[in-house]
Amino acid sequence: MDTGNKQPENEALAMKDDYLWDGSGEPDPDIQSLEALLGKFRHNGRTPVIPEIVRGSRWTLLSRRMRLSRSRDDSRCRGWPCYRDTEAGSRHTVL
Amino acid sequence: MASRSGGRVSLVEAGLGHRPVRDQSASKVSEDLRRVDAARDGDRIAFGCLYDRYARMVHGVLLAKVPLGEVDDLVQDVFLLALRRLSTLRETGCLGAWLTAIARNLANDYHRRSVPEDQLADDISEDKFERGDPGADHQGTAAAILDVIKGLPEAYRETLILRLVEGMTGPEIAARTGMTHGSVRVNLHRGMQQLRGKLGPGLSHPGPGKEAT
Repeated sequence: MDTGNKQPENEALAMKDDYLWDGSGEPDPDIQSLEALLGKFRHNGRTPVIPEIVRGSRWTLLSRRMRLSRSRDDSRCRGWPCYRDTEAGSRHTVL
Repeated sequence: MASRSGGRVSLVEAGLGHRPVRDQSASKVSEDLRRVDAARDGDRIAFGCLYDRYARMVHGVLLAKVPLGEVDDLVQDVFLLALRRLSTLRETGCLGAWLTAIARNLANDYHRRSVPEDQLADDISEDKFERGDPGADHQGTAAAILDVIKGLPEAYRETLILRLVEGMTGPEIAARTGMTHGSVRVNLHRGMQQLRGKLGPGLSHPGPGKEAT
């Protein structure tokens, strides 16, 4: 496990991996192939309905409500947060 | 800040889509700080933006440690816990590292509850990959490769999954996880080196029955 990067020779080698690093430089066919294969496991990008932010004993109930909201709204939200602004200052209504 | 259109929050503007993010500017960090403060004050949209910004990172960290089928639920658990404990976050600039730590802890908790089942699933798919099972379909091959990655040392596997699965760039990984650019770069390089060694040559030119190798 590397967490400190103390070996210059390895760093020098790593510097050659521009495509692996940020997608720049000459594309590496092996990496492109892996990206195409493994990309299907990527996070689905859906944002759940965020429950009202409160603290304390209501938490368990809100957690359950968040899960329920997520499953109920999956087909309706299509990956987008279901917020609607109300006129009441910064309050938001969950659709 | 995320913009709104037709009552919805546009998250693309906040760099939350699946396109690579090339760097982490200071303005992004300050946006995070504002959103954390707003979320602490009860702003759910702000927390939703934080979710979108860090969900891929959390998903990748979890994917490196738990079975695929468990990851989505655990991502929710991480953010629920984060939401609950947001007021305890002292350094808001360390949000990514904080979320990473929560994700790792929940993954460890998961394994404390269900080690034997995971081990069985991992053994089966890796064996399938190594034998070049002719019945293995595209999905199966991808899953088998994922399991090979999950067999790498933790730092390499996590960084590689963030890069190859979640589509994050090195700078983005560094920015989200709080690791240094040097560490991410070396982990990517060494991890890829080990992965090539395990998968063998011809990774980009699949043969019959082993299309990904």
